[in-house]
Amino acid sequence: MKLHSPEFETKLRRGIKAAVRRSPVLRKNRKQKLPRQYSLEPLGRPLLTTALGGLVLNAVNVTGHPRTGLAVMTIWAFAWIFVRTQNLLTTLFLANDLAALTLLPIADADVFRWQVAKCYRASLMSLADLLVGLGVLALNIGLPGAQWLALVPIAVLAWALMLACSLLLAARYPGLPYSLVSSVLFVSGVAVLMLRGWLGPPILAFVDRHAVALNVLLPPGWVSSLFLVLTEPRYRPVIWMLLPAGLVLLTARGSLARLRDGYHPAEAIADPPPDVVPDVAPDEEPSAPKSAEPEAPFRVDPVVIERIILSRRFLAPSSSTGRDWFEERLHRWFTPREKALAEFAFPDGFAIVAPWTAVLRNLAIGIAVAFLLSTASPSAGAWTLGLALVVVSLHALGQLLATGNAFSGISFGGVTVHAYAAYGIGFGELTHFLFKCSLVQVPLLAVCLMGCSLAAARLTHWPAAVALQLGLKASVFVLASRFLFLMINFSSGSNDTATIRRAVPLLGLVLLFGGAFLALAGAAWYVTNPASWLACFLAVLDAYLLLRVYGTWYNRMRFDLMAVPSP
Amino acid sequence: MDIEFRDVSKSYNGVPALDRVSLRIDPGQIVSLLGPNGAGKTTLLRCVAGIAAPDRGAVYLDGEPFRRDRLDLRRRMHFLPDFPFLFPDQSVVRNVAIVLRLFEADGDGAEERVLALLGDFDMLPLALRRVGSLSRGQAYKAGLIAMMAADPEVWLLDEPLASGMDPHGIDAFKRHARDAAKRGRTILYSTQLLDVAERFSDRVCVIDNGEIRAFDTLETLRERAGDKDHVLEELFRHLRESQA
Repeated sequence: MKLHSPEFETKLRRGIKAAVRRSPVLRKNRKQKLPRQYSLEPLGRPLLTTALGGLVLNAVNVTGHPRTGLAVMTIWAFAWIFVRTQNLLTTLFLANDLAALTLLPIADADVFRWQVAKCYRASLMSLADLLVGLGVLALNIGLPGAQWLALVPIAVLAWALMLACSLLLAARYPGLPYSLVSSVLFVSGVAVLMLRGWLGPPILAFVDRHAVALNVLLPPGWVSSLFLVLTEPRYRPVIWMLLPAGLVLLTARGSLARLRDGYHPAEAIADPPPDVVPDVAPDEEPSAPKSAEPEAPFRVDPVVIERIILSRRFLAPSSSTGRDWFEERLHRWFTPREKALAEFAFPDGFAIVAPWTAVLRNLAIGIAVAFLLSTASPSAGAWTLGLALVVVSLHALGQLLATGNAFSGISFGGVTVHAYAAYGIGFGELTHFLFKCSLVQVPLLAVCLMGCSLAAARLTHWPAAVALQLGLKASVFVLASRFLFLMINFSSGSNDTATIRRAVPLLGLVLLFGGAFLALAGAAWYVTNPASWLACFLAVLDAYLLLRVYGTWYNRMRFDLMAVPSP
Repeated sequence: MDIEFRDVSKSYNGVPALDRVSLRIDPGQIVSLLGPNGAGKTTLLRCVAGIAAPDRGAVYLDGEPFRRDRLDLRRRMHFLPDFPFLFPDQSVVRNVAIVLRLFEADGDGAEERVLALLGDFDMLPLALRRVGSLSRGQAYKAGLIAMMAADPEVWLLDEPLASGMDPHGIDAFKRHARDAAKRGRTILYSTQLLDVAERFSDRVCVIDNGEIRAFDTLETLRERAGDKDHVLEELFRHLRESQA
């Protein structure tokens, strides 16, 4: 289906050119040279494909087994099935263009085809992944020339199987948390990449040991394993795996039909919410006016509203009651201006105790489960603990680096501006306020990270004292990273890297201070004597200085506080 | 507060939005910014608010060069975009309260100001309603009430007359703006409605292709045009003809 008309577009283009030729002003404007725009975005996905090629090559070189390389490809493709499912569901039901498409006189079935076609196009990079992975394997084992031709149908079939799996999941199990699964997979991938020196060898050994099982259990392996048939005749029974693959492929039609039948995109109309009454004394609780409709939302009488306003109750912060110990300390520490900023950034109140209780509870559960599992299988225990530590650390980091509404984007006049900038809130005051919010949570962060390091030490047989020290140092670095993240927060709503003139000094600054931060962090990590604490302190200072220098540029108006889209 | 542009130029991605703009706005005036789409009206407002940084020249407020760390100056003005930033899960009065506190205007008498404004804009029955459940015009009124209750010295408004407000709301806005100007407040607003601008401004600033084509009182513009009616329409027609 085409939602545009090439003939009309050609005619329009010609008309515009003619109009420009006729008008001297338009001719002059046309001649104005626009600076060339560069974007690294198109390189992102091909880089991932290249990374897969590297992973497959590394797996085969280290283990000497092509089946291990295939298993790496299979795991990769399996993970992408969830990403594709999430993409499919988002494109079908939450895409930005749906609001416009539903207003146009287009049948739901056509909108469905249009959206599904977009997903198919997006999934072509998965085909490229499979081709590159198989190509790397073929090169590695020196596959004869004629057999290279077989790689294309294998990759296409595996890609089709991936699509069929995504369609099946989207049609039958749309409620599963694909977004969460995709995020966890992405974060795990990044974690493995960052800690490849430590995690790489055991993971590769695991994949090598269970390569056959992985290729048989995970659907993409059913087809990609056909590659083994090309290498040795003893792998011929692998062809039988085409049977389950064929069965899954056969479900694609039914899945599409099921999705199409239930596809009726329309504007979501929510029930009107009830009135929000500011905190009042129990004897002053306003009552709802009588309504003819029995299920009408709670509404307060205008006379009562007037009374509430004149009593100034609406001016009291909504979080003035029910503060826990930490929140109360933080509130008392705030200056009056910071209290105003707190209301702006966290209108429902800044919670500390409840989220940290959840973090520490999850940590305790994760550790308990990991140690229970380790009695049966040490490797399963280690994996569970690793996963629990990653999840808990991310949760803790999210709480510590929370910025509330301060950096929410507002779109107006074709640009996006952060909320704080629209209300004239200063760089210094906002950074002070947010840093205070982080600082007050450091004891809880330290408890959490020391718990994490103690649990890790138990597995790695490190002394507890060293583990505690590492946990404490990690807390200091996480706190220092608040300065770096604040700079990123401010930078993300500006055009500070839009031109070479602005980007080069900023990049230099980030490389200089960021490099120093990493070096100091590394020094503090590996050195155990008291000098390591000096490195810790210097790293904090370094991050602070970076933020201060950026703040000076910000205040001197070296860039705009808005992201200006490219022409 | 005096607002002065001295030789201000600003471009986006190489496309000029303001080109060597110099003008001075005295306090106590209602100034309408007029010009075709993309002429530079919103950029001019953003430069005063500190959101856009001039590539060249500077904005002076009360004779002092404007920098973003001059919070004393920034708190004396309020920028209201055509889609104001409001907290959708909070009620109208909570949104107003947050703005009042940010502008340190929540002292004695704030409650009466807020009540009067809610009444004038027909928003009293909606005062405890979540902003996210309001129509665009009602939400804009909420933003406007918050700004007016804070009563800053400079009101910067982007297209307030095309914000979805009903005629009663527009009338209330004009009345309050006129009263505020009498109290020495400066109201700088952009609009495309020439007939409204003719009746509701002390000075008119016409921008085209980033250049100021006219910045005068309506009387002066009328005199120049030979006392013609609809002087702004004439001015725009003249602009188009000179470009063609």
